[in-house]
Amino acid sequence: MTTVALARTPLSPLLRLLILTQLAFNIGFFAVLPFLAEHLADAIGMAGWLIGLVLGLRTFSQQGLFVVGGALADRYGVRPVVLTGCALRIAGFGWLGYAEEPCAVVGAVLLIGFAAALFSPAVESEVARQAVEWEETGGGSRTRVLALFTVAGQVGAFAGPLLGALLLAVDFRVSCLAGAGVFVLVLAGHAWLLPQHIPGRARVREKGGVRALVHNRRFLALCCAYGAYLLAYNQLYLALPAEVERAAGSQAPLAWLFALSSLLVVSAQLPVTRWAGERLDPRRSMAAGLLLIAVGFAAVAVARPPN
Amino acid sequence: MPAAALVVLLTLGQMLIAPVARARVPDLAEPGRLGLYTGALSSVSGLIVLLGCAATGTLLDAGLPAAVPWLVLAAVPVAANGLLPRGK
Repeated sequence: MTTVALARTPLSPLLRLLILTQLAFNIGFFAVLPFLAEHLADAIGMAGWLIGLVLGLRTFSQQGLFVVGGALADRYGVRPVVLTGCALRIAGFGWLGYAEEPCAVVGAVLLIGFAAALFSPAVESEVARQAVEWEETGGGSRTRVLALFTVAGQVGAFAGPLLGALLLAVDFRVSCLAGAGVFVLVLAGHAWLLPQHIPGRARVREKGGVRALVHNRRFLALCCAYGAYLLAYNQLYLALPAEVERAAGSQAPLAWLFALSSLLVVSAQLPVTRWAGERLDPRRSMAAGLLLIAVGFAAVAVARPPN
Repeated sequence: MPAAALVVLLTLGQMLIAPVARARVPDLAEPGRLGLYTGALSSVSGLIVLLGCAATGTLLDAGLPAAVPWLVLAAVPVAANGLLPRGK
């Protein structure tokens, strides 16, 4: 249905596989992640600071190493990197489900993070490349393909915790194994459907891309703008809980606000992208987004009574 | 409730920024290095989040007037907007 809404030209099978992969990644990941902190505290008996450290290391081994995973995809191709990443994620979830010693848990969590650093940039970069090809062959705006990719990720991030909560009623181990199971499906799908060599994707054998990257001011500016948005988004977890507690007396409305955000992305992302694509160039679209975020924070500042 | 307004505006902002930012990477990356640049977008912005969250945490605990941390948070995207590359 969404593909029909997107354009008359259907997306290529490879694009559909990659978009579905993003959905599956997030279902598998978010079936486990939201419940990890509680598992570490209750079942493993870790102290609060150690849990914070483990979760921080997980983020670092994932997000921080994306640049390494992306470079590996350039060098060895998308297929081997995605398949290895999925295999490591399966191993990581399996290990986490059975790990009882703190050291083993930390190892499993880092492995889970590192696995994503392999498959995510490989998949994301190929989606972007395919979206450009789709645009160049007259399919329609590449941004709309990436918007659909975002929606798929959001649906997964929304459905994952629901699945995880259901499974958690049985056991944390069962959620881990279900997470692993989702990645078995992704691994099988990619082993079967992802070509060994994707036409048009050049491989670069030599090193040295980083030097040009750190001198690419336009790219670094894009990173700063994207980082500013991500930093703002992270305030949903950092600054917002205290504000909600102050205004409502408890943090209970927080879950509803997260649901509202997910629902907005799922229902409005494609129309918003279409609307903006007809009126704003990419730079103006990003500028408008950043200004809306600024207005949001300013609104809270204005509404807050001085204490 | 201002928190709900913030969440709606933040999400609208996200919808205008995230897909467009990803769509621009192929224009800015060197040929054959799209994986590196895609990964770097996540890693560099992740580093910004890490440093920014540490700064925000300090700001929230600093005992400043209640509005100040929120005004600083509002200033960050405005500043980032000034950095955006010109042109297409």
